[in-house]
Amino acid sequence: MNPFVTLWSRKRVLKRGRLTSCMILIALVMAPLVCALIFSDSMMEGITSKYIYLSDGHLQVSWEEGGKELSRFDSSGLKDMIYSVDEVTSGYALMYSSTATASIMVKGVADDYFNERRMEQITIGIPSQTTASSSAVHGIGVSRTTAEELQVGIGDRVALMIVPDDPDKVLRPVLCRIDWIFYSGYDQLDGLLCFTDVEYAKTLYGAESSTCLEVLVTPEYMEKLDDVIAAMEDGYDISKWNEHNISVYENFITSRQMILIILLLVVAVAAFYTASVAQQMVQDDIQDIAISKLIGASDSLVRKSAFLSVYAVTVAGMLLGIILGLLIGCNLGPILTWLSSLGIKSLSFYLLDFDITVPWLQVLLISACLLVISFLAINISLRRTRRITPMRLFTSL
Amino acid sequence: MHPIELKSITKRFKATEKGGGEITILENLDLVVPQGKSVAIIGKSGSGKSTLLHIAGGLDSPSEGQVFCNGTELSKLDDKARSMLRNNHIGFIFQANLLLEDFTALENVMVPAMISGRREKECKERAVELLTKLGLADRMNHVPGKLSGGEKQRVAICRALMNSPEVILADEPTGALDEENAAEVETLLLDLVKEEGRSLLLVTHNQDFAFRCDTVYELKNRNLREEKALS
Repeated sequence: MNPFVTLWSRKRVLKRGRLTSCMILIALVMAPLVCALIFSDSMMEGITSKYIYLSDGHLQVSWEEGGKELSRFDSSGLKDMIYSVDEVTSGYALMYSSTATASIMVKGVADDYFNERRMEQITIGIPSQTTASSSAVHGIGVSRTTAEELQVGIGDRVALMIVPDDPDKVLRPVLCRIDWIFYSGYDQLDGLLCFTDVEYAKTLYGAESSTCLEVLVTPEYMEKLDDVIAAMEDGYDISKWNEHNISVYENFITSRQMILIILLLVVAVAAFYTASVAQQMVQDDIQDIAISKLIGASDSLVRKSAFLSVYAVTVAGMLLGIILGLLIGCNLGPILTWLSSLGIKSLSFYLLDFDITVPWLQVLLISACLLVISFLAINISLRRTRRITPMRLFTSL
Repeated sequence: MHPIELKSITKRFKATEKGGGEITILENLDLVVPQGKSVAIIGKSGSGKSTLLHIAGGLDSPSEGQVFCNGTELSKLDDKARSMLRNNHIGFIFQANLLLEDFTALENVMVPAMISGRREKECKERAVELLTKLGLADRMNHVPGKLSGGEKQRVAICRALMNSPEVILADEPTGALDEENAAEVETLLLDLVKEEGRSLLLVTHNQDFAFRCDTVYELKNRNLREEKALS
């Protein structure tokens, strides 16, 4: 690079307050954007995980008319693909306490259902002294959200009004005892779930269609569910988690796209701002530009110098913003927990404890958008240097 | 081939008043600045001396006629080539020293060489040498705002000489200086030009300064009249 370009840019960056404020503005725009990307991506990943591990599994294998029985399902040849297969019987019910009612989904699961991966998604509170198991009343696990809603605790009894799959069957109430309370961190899902023993659930929801196998795949195959389905034996109805939660899934996809579009628009506006900074810089530096041209700097050299000053500041602001955004974004958990302690109700729609995922591709995309638009905008606005000739020095003196 | 040669130069300006037509300031003027010689132009204010210098330096274009710099016709050059020619072959010194205010004296002197793409270290060595020669060794890291008028003009001279141009174009280089500083700058400029074998085209009101040059012309009635011939 021409040494004059470097010297000129260095002088401008150090001298001009406007360039510093441009850098700060870009940083202040980029930081929340990166933070928003981290928040939305991590939150969606987190919520998706809750649905997968606690509600539906990655895949659900169900009985198919004319197909094989679920008990004959064999996954022994797919050990590299499948992490666990659990039999689950589920159905809907109304849960009554002495003070309130809640609509829930009863999931009958075996003891080993809550494996290591599921336990990462849930906190279970079990009292040190369990209630006598000899009791004829069956035990269930409800979420903290439901327990609070029904104003019940461990050991309390609740009535379940079972809603059968078969419309010809009548609604029937059963009495249950709350043996444990769980909390997944996502109130919206917690409020729907209630766990009980799979064998007991079969007695409540007898139909074959109420039972399925929940399959969790290994991490390597999480994004290749179709490959796993293709490798499974025929004779079963196999569906993916998002087919069961189509509205949740579609919402996530749409939200993700909308957030990205909005962020790109914000970045575009910030990038155009750099053009006005470049324009103002040219206006402020008319005399210096004319002097440089007088002593032999060509217009393209002057433009390069001015471009480098503004662009260097833009890039520096962008990097600063990304770093700031990453710092805030990676500490969103404590920030959200603090906000929730202030009693902000809308936070019940979000996870308060979730793994941070940095969406590097999207961060790169908005950075590239900023760089490309500011590159073009600055260059276009710097075309006015062409009109500054050395003669300007003598006509304006 | 001369460092600067003007052939049949005419320069007209549009009158500032509405419907005022055109004013001819230079008419069919010829001028040669020979290699290694100094040429001074004197004349009354508004006679067109500065305009003539601007045309000679490729800063302004004549309405008619041709300007040659080392045999190259300036009107045939594009912006880049003309800039390069100004950078390498011509050094400018003006009454208002036209230094870059944010740059130190050293940087101001280095700039022409940096524009031509020379390495920073090389530029610095040459700039330090020139500034030291002109007695500014202890003022190198001062910005123009911290220098006196005479010092600024000496920095401007150093900058003009930085790329060892064949010709120096100076427009009232001592016009803004007191008598003592003016005399010092005059001597410095003429000595340096002679020492380094450069040509000088000087525009001045100062008759004494002008007559220290090899050739003196008076610009009168839109043309040049020789006042002192090259001996």
